[in-house]
Amino acid sequence: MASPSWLTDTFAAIMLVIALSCVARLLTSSLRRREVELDADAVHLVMGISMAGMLVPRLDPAPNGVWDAAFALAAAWFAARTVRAWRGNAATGWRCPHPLPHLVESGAMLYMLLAAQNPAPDNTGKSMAMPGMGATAGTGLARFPALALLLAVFMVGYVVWLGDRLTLVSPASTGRAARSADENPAGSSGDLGWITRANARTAARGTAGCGTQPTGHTSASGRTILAPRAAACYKIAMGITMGYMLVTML
Amino acid sequence: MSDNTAVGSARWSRRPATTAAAAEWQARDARRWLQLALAAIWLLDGVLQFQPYMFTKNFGTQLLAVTAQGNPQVIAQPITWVAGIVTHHPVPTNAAFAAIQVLLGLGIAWRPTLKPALAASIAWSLGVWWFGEGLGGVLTGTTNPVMGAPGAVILYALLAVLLWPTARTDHDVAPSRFVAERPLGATAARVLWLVLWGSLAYFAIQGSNRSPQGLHDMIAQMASGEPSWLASIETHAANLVAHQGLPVSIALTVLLTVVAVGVFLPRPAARVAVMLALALALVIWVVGEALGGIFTGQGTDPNSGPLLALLALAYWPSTLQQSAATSGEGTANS
Repeated sequence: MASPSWLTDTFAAIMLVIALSCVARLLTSSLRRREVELDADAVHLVMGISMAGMLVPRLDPAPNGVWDAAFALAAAWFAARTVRAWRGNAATGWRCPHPLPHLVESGAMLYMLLAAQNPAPDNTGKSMAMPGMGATAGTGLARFPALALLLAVFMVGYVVWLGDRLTLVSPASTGRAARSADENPAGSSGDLGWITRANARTAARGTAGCGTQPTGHTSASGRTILAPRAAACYKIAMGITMGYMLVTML
Repeated sequence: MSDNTAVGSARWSRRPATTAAAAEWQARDARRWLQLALAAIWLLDGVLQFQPYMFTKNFGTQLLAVTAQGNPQVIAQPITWVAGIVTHHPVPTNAAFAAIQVLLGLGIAWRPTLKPALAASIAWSLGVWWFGEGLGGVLTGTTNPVMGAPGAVILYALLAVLLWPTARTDHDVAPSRFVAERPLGATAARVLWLVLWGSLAYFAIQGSNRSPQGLHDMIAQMASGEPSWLASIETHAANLVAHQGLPVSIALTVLLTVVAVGVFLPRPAARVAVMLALALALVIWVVGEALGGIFTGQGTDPNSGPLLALLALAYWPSTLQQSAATSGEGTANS
């Protein structure tokens, strides 16, 4: 049972728009002397194209091996960044201050790509080769479906977390308020302590945020951040789409 | 505010730079975390609603229409009517259902729309409880808390009420004993808890739930379509309660009753009751509900287990201002 084509087409279109917006952000940042999270925007650019190709196979421009390698590299990069953040080393320059969600996203992409290439046998015991997510959606042929569910739950939680912080990155917000919100755990019972500590340190250099930085905030290089709210919105859209793709693999 | 930041703010804002929006962004407290958990569950529901099965006629005939069975005619007829509409127009109706739930989740997560989203979620939950779950089967005499009674969706509405944002915080002069008491007061919140868990205790001992194989049959059928590890859990649990329907139902009733009255007891006992509620929620979710049937491709939501756990957390007696609460308990007799 496959998903309706209009649904996968819609999600694919959204992913391509996000990929284009990432290109625009990367080009605009240097032209207008605004800073972006280069590593996060770059991986989301690749992710948007890959997800569009998984949803609608005819949009896939590269062979599977290319995507596998790309997201394996991305996962390794963000894993290293996560370890550094855990040890209290603040992200500097163009590096994303919140690498963990991007690590999980990269891992989820690898999982979906490998599952599509190597689906679990169906009830008849035969492996069925089904190219593209559009054909595998709803087939329940994912190996380790519990992992798909866990990843989907993480994505949903990440989207909610981003939504909660959206007002923090409104155009009227200031860097000081954002920094204090990140640094002050008082009354914030249950915040992931190490993330808060990492936030505090990165906030000190002016890049606090949910992987996005509040407008008007300056980075260590002295440049302001480019469209943080738009970045948060595209991450929300990407998270929902990824959640959908993972759930349809159950 | 540094000069650079001030310049940056002035440069970017189309209106005068202000710290009001950011200054109002309060760090998350326990209530906010529970609201976010509720938002995440709504969002997950919306994503699950996008599954291919939901866009087929089977959603209307096999999931919705069957909930009318056993209900009074005044309840059943509208259910059948709605199920008929969904069956004949599965694509647009299900797309709308999914979009609504996604928007509810995002609305609760985004602070400016928190109240409207919670209010909308109450209305939506009540509608789905009737037309989608047949009032959870509470009027049919066949419902069982292990299978999801009184209907998961009504718990969304209850959570929305109990997590309604008020001015009271953990640091108010009259400190909250638990999160759920803030909107309605401690007495009303405890009564709601009593009604919920007391009704579960009542349902556990009803009718066919007392039969020797009743509970066994319910649990055993949950194994169908599940991954092998989960099906194994279901099968073993079903074997454990085989021919033990009556004593297991009695034991479950006792435990649910303890949970129901536990919140009225002193703090240590109340915590035990809440922990027991959490444990029961976990057992119900895994054994009785098979994680909501999500792995079958036909699960529209994770069912009542996670929601019962969320409710329990909302009633967790707080350690904050414990000494102040103790000193105030003699006068604040609520």
